[in-house]
Amino acid sequence: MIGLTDFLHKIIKVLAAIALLVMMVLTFSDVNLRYWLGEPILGSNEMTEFLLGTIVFSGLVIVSGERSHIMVTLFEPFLMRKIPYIYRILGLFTNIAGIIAVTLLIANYTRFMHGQGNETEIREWEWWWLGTLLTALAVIAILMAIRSIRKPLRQMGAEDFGAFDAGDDAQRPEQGGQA
Amino acid sequence: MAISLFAFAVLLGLSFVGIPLAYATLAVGFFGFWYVRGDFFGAVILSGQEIFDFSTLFGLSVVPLFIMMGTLIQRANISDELFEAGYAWVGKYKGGLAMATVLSCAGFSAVSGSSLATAATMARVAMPPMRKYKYKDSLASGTLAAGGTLGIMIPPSVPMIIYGIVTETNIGLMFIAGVIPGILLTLSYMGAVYGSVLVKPELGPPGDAVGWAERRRTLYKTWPIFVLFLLVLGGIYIGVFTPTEAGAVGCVGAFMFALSRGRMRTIREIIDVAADATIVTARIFIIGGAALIFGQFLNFAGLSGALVEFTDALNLGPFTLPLMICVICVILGMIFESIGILLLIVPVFLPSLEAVAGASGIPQDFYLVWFGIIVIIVVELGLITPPIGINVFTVKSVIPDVDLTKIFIGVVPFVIADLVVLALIFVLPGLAIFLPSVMPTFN
Repeated sequence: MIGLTDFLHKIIKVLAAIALLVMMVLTFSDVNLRYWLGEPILGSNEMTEFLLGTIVFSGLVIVSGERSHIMVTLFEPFLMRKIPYIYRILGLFTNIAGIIAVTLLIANYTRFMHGQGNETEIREWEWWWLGTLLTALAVIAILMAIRSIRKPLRQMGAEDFGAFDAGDDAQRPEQGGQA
Repeated sequence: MAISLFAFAVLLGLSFVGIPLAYATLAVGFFGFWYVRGDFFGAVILSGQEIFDFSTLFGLSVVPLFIMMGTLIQRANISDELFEAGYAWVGKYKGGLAMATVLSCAGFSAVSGSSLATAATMARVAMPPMRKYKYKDSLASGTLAAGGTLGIMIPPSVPMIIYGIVTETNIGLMFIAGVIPGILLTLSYMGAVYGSVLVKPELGPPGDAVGWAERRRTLYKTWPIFVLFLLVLGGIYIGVFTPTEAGAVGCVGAFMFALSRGRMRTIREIIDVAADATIVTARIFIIGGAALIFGQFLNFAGLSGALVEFTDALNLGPFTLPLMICVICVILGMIFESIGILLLIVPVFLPSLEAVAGASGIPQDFYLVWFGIIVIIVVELGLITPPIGINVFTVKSVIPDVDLTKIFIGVVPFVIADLVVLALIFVLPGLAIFLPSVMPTFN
């Protein structure tokens, strides 16, 4: 399990990075082509939407493995002192249950979109293809969440700021249940 | 109304016991919707749709781009130059190093939308010299924690993007509107430092004076920051770019800049930076999708309508209502984080705000821009006020030997400065909406 998820982690990390870099280059090229040549990339917005979905769910795979979701940590020290075992189990359980719920919801909606034949306006790409990719990524995220029971992934960016992530505006990402 | 309040209570309860905010919101939203509509399969379809739509919304593609831009700038190690320039110009005054820290935080914020990145990066750079000049830990660490909050007020700012999406306010307008309040906050923070050393000079002794040639040299070294800021904000202002395009242009600029400084030269480093940005994006987006489900439930439960009636009944006006919301957000900001407030609290009051906007004398678009700036300042406050004060914990993690209480004491003058600026923007909305109102593309 650890070996498999380590391998998947590497693949997903590269996929996420490529998706973001392609989105950056695509948007940059689109601006330049539009202003200098008057020829924007046809359907670039739709491509961006597909890439964005891939970015979000690839990131979710890693977040599930790291157990680094945004959490309210106000009572964490108290709960860790009073009910450390229950608190830890609750953190692990919700990390897995939550991603399973997301997976089921996305899978069901993908089936729905397939039935409806939803597609993008310009390129006429069928949305259920993206839904299938996102469902597959969410399934991998479940594996990552299960793996994190034994050994969570090391938090990215943690080497820069100790326990804190570099780019998160909102919050200190926590190793849920492990604090 | 009762079921909505109960749902909020459950959401808070679940969050407090350590359930990730995204999943707590998803659970309450899903079951709430199912209960209110009595349609399980409807709730399943709606929930899947909201998560899917939010994750593929074109307007939100700006979020990962600006996050990546900030990460690239951070890796480019510009912070040393920024502090050096700040020190050269104001270091010789009492509290000068702390003022230089505020200035360098503002500079860093101008190209990074992240308060944590700003606080953590500048803490590494500014703390050693402040200790060398015998600055008290309370002032030094308080300045770092508060200076970091400029990251979300000075555009580009991720919370501003989230607010823009949630309220359907033009993100470009939000960015431009943040410029004057950002400058005001920077000046007020410098004023807070000045006030602190005026009362207790031993808090921040003066540093060594620096000659004019050296001042010019250090300032010149920060040119990439000015260029990137002008490129991104200027492009939006004159209408050359949309915010998403500005994000991509800024990203490419930041990438070239990092490359010129010897970074981003290996595939591994490039992948690390991009993957880092996707993780932060995922954390925000999964809460966003869940918040939409929760919002749908609240709509069907009739909370927004009830709040409009409540506002009418209390005769709350276009300025008293935002004041009431601010008080709620300040209280919630002490226990809840910024994204939670922006995604869960703001949409609830949106219909009430739109209902009273007409009486404000401010055009509705600008009214929401003005309110957005107010909310961002309130969210900023939440980053440094106890018990959560995430920036305080960030500084503590970088400088572990500083007592947490000292940092919280140190941020008090900055909290007052925040409140002063908040009051100013409340009384003079023009401070927030003047620049957007003269924006060429909007007129």
